[in-house]
Amino acid sequence: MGDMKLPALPTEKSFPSPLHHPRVATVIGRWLGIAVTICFLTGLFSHLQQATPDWLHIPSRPSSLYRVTQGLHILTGTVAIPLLLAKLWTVYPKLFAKLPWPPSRQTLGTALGTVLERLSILVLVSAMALELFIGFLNTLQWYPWPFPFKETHYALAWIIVGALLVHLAVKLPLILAHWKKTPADRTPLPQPADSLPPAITGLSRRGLFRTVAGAGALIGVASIGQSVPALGPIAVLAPRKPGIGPQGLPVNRTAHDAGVPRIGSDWRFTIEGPQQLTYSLEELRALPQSRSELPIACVEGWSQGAHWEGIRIRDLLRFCGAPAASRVRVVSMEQGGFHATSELPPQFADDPLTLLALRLNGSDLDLDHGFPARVIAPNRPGVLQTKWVHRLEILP
Amino acid sequence: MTPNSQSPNDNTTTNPTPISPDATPRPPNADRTPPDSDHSPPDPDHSPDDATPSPSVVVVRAALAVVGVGFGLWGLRLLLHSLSTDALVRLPLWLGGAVLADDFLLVPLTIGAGWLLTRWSIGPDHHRTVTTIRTTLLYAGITTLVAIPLLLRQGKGINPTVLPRDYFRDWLLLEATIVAVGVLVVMIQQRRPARPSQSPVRTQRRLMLRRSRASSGDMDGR
Repeated sequence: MGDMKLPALPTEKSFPSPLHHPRVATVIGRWLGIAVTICFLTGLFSHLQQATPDWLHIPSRPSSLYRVTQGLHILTGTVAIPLLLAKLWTVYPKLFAKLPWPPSRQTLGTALGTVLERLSILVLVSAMALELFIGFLNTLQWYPWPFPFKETHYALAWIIVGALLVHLAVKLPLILAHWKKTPADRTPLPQPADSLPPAITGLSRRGLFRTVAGAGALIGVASIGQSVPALGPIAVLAPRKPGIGPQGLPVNRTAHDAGVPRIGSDWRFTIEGPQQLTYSLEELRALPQSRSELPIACVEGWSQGAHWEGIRIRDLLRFCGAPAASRVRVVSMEQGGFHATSELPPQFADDPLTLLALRLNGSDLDLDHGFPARVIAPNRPGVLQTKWVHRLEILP
Repeated sequence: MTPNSQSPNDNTTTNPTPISPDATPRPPNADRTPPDSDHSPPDPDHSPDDATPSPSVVVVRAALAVVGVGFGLWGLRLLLHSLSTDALVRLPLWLGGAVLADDFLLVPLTIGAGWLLTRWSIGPDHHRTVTTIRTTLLYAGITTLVAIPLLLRQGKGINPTVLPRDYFRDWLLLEATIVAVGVLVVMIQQRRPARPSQSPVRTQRRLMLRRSRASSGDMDGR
């Protein structure tokens, strides 16, 4: 590390590369801004899916919507890693800029502004770096930190977007001044005097943009295969591989993890509505069966389409005399955990694709996929596709 | 890869520059490059804007700042409501750690590597390959950074469908591919003749393509 051989701390002028330039910060900041915006909006959608306020109507179609949004969430978050590093590299000299402190009476306002701006950047960088780190580790189901993942990840997202808007407010004149491309983007700019002429060895801004875009594309291509099975074989940086798991489908929570015992012949399925109906597994199999092609799309970003067979929830509602548009509570045999129950809003319960599934990809559900019965619905996060279902309750 | 900056011949054919480490660096086409660094004299077309920002910009900035502070406070409120005191005390340590890892490890490492590479690039004939080597190192570095958690957690997944690959083998394959592509490009670059007049047809065609792209870029810029 060349800068470390100096006895004194580096200053803003210690970094000779002409690529530490507002134009570079503007272009890479634009890319990072797009990635953060997509990541935030798709993450917000996922949050609203899992904690839907009363006023919000989430449609049950398109059936693969959540698969796409959550795949994008993880993709943009992962690609943001090289973008954030490139952005930090570009503005790195600013880290060593002298604070105008202590200020004179005349410059007090400016000095206060600078300190506040530095604080907002500290908030932005720390929150974004930690957010990307814990988000990526969550896709591996690895939680080595002493705070709850979901709540922290969600709250930090608002803090990041807030700090980003403040950052944009502060930098807006600089951003506008460097928004458009100039011929200087193509030309390597002067390097330190001990090097060859920059046209020979230097990197132009456009060269840097291409390199950074290439790094993002490389990371993206090497990880998107967990959501796009066709690219699964080359997804060497993805924690999931399509086709791996019981019945060719990955699992998030196994029966063992969920504390679900072996299912005996005395197992009964109950639906509590205007009438209470009870079925054995054989009786469920004797009901009219329907088929759905629906993906399992997990909050951790992986997704895979599958072929499900079972009884339409809307048929079950009809059998027990409940109105077509009913809200349904789905109760699992799962012991504890956040997702032992879930609620199907009326539009999901009424969708002809929504099943109480008994079969997957041509055979009875594996115990890890929710044997004897699970819910599968279009446009829903995997954690809400409740497994080991033994009761449906029609809510008023 | 950056074909533009990998082709020093582009400029030297029309605008020869003496290659000497002692010479004061001067961009070969500085005369036709409009100044746009911070140190350049202000553009007369833009200086009035800078002196008196337009009211719409002021309004937009104020709105961004107000909404931003609102979002940030909302996030803070969410944290205070959903985290235990113990977690709230430890979270700032992790936030600080994230800054340290970025600003005092990853970025200095990149800057240090870039500094070494720039020094190396002064050597004879190194200018031909420096861009490719820089890109190869960067790609190997960033993919390794992302692979580290996968390598650390290999075999420790909660169930066999999490981290099902042989990530060490896949990481070696990925790095080998990146390095192999880099070496291939370097070999092609070293075989490229200095003067386009002596070059094989393919190289000449590529150069012509670049030159035409460069000239269209000129028109875009103006």
